[in-house]
Amino acid sequence: MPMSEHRSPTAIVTGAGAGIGRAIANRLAEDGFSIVVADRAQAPAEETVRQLQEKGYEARAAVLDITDPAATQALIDSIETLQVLVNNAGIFTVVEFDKLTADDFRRMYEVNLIAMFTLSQQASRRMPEGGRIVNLCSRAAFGARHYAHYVASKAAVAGFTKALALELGMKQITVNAVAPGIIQTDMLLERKDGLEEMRAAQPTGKLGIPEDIAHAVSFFADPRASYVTGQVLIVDGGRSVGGTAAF
Amino acid sequence: MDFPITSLQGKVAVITGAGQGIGEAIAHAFLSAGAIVVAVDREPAGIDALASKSDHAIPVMGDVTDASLPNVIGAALDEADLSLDILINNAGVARGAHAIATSDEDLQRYFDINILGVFRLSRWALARMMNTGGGSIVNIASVFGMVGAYNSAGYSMSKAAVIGMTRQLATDFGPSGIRVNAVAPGLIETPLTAERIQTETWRRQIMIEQCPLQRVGKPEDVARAVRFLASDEASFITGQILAVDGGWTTGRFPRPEPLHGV
Ligand SMILES: NC(=O)c1ccc[n+]([C@@H]2O[C@H](COP(=O)([O-])OP(=O)(O)OC[C@H]3O[C@@H](n4cnc5c(N)ncnc54)[C@H](O)[C@@H]3O)[C@@H](O)[C@H]2O)c1
Ligand SMILES: NC(=O)c1ccc[n+]([C@@H]2O[C@H](COP(=O)([O-])OP(=O)(O)OC[C@H]3O[C@@H](n4cnc5c(N)ncnc54)[C@H](O)[C@@H]3O)[C@@H](O)[C@H]2O)c1
Repeated sequence: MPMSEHRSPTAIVTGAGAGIGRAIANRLAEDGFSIVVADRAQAPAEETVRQLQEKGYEARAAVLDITDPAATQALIDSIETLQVLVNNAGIFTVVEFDKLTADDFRRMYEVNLIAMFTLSQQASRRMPEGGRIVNLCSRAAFGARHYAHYVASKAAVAGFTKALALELGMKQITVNAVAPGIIQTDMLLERKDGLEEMRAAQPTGKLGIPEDIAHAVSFFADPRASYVTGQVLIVDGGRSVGGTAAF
Repeated sequence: MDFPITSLQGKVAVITGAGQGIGEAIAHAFLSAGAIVVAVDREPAGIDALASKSDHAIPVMGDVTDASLPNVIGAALDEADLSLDILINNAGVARGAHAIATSDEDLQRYFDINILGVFRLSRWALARMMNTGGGSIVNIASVFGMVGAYNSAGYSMSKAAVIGMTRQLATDFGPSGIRVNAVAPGLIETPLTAERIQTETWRRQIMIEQCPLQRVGKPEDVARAVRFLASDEASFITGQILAVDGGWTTGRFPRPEPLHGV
């Protein structure tokens, strides 16, 4: 590790090996943070690090599963200058309600919520005044078909964000969430079916791109955003605002 | 650490109430991001001072209750050969009063300035922006438009209307490439509130001591959020109400001691 890593404030971005997380890592690196790319998938995490270093940014990979509290604690302990935690890693599966099992629910909560809780607790103990936590929620938190377990986990993220904002306010740590609508990640583009319908349901006829989410995360992560906390900002091209849009 | 500033390079923004307080901070934030600012206010001092400091600020004196104001601003834009990219509806008035002490005239004043003043300029800007392929509007609402507030009937109603207008215009004009969002400030120290913060104990207790971040906001806190929502960085965000309130609407009454040590 170069010594300079200890001087730049550090941002951990979970799930930064892919999609939205990679775009967030890139934007926060541009903002001047040293980035820890925390992902359970080694090759993608290293690819993100390679891309950042190629542009001259400070970055390193931490290959771990965020549902392993010992591993996440060890990561937190290894960072001298923790300033920002972006809880982005998440899972998503489509299961019709009638086929949904309690195990589907448990697994979803394990990754999307409990891991977020554990990491936030560990990180908040280490963060100085002015620390920032940004959580990835979803527009789906407010209702969607065929993934009740995901919807419930993301609604929980919204509540968790607000509760944490209140508890960490005394330490001047802000906690906010970004709730993406449909974002064009590689995964989504691969699944060609339904893409046109998704586009047509957008007021602007456009899907979001990972950078749209990254900019919003950057707004909350900025040290100057010191009076904004407990917010859940929906970034969905307006799809959920108009009463006539179909979900 | 040197954080970059969200760019508004070359964008033309009309900002109402730019003479002091939050509007003045928005004007400075926009100018430092490279925007050309048409600074509108009914008082000349602040906007003239702004123009004397920056070549990119064009002062327009006018009152948002004046039905001819859109034409006056339009003429200033045309004279400088500028199109319109951004409208910030910030001008507004506030004076707390109990519902029973709120007269028809009081309510009419809130309607004229805080609601019709915002709507009339928005209608004008939307038409212009539709011709040029899009744009962005940010309204300054208030947390008092989101939750029940103390002794604030007319003002709170007017700001709730601004929030409804924001969602409605976002829905109708998304397909035209026009985004409409609002920032809802909590208690911000400006010429409007400075004296009240000093003299009103309840305001200090409820709005500052019981606010999760336990401080009053600065005009710059609001200005940063407005700049972000107005910029292309927020191009997938519309119809949203972003509170800049130190967590006040999220919940109040923090415990005096932190719950976890270290
Ligand atoms: N893509 C969208 O349209 C969309 C919409 C709303 C919300 N979101 C949310 O945004 C976030 C990112 O989504 P995405 O589309 O980029 O997802 P993605 O599936 O493309 O990437 C998720 C990344 O997280 C990692 N990850 C998953 N589980 C992990 C674990 N237990 N430990 C460590 N790493 C783990 C994966 O390896 C992967 O690199 C998620 O929280 C998701 O719910 C996405
Ligand atoms: N300060 C706060 O705590 C706070 C909180 C929530 C919302 N707000 C809102 O923010 C906005 C700005 O507030 P501020 O605190 O900076 O107020 P301020 O009174 O300090 O400044 C308002 C500016 O708007 C101008 N203005 C007022 N009425 C006008 C009109 N009819 N036509 C043209 N210009 C007019 C004034 O001349 C002044 O320059 C208002 O809409 C207010 O309701 C303020």
